[in-house]
Amino acid sequence: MSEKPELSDFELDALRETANIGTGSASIALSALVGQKVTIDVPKTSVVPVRQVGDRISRADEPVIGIYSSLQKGMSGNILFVLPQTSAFALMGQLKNRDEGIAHLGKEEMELLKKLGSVVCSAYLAGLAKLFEQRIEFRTPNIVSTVGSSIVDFMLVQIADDEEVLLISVAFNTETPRIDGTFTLLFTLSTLAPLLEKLRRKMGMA
Amino acid sequence: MEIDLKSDLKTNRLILTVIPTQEYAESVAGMVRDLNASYNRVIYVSLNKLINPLRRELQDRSVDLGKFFFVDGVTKTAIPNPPEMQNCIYVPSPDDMTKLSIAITKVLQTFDPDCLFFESLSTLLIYEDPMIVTQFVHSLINKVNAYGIRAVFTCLDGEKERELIRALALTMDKVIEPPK
Repeated sequence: MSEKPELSDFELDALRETANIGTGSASIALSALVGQKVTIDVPKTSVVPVRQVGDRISRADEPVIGIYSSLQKGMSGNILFVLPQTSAFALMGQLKNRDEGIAHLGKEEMELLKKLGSVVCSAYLAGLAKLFEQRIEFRTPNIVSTVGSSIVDFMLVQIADDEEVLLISVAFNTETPRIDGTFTLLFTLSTLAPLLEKLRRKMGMA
Repeated sequence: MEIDLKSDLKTNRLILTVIPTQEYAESVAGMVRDLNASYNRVIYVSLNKLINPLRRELQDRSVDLGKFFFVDGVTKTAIPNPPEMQNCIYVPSPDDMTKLSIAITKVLQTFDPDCLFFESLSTLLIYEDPMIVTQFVHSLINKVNAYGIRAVFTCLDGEKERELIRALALTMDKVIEPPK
């Protein structure tokens, strides 16, 4: 395992800005899909132990649908798109033009969610790829239904419990129908060094 | 929400617990503690949590894992080939109710359980409509009755669950709901 880098406030700010770019692209893609204005909050950046990640992303007991993927080329990390269950059902209703929403996630809806996840992840990562001037690829997203405190376990099956992670998270919502959600990008500190090096070079700090 | 399974299971063989979302984790933990204290062999059907974090959480709560056999319907969605584990059987995904049913039957036949803990029916409702889930639970109850064991089902206290709770109320010996 490589050495864990120390992050300065400036670097955290720069990473937050990086997330802003990715989130902006993702929200435009989501907005085009649902035909609604998508409002995004200011991204939150923090370094936290793995076990605390779940609570940072959603309320612990809230039933959620997670669409998650890992980066496999260009960068090492995970991307997660979390929706409270009610929002996931409202989103599917919107995508399927059903004002009353949908009753459950059948195979068709699961496929639709995966496609939506792919589009949103692609848009999110396209912004980062542009910034870092390199191609970033991700695995086909997985869908999971669980509670808020457990969602992160699915993303972190390959990461040791005692790791610390850099979490870049941003909440978004639409008004009608009400859809709330969170995009999260996560890097283990031990794999962050190359990313920081690029960021420093980009900012003329290296 | 206080649920006293130790006492409720003495007089009721089939129990459905309806739990408010914000109290779900603590209530489930309390029920598992009660099952751990009352029985030696429990089947734990888990549809929400990966097996390792679930086992770790139970261990942290001083639950004797040796008493439990896990039917895990979710780990394979994240890890296609999870390592084999003693007292654990994996089902490909929580929406595959046929394989879930087959797995539970297998464990009923081989583990000689005292009780089955099913967590949770709300997860099934994400993938199927209440009528299909009701049929699944009825079939499971038939098996539980055939083996003469007790069973506890959990579900969230949500709008989506209302129809299922109504449909199952006649089949259960007791439905524990939050105070209105």
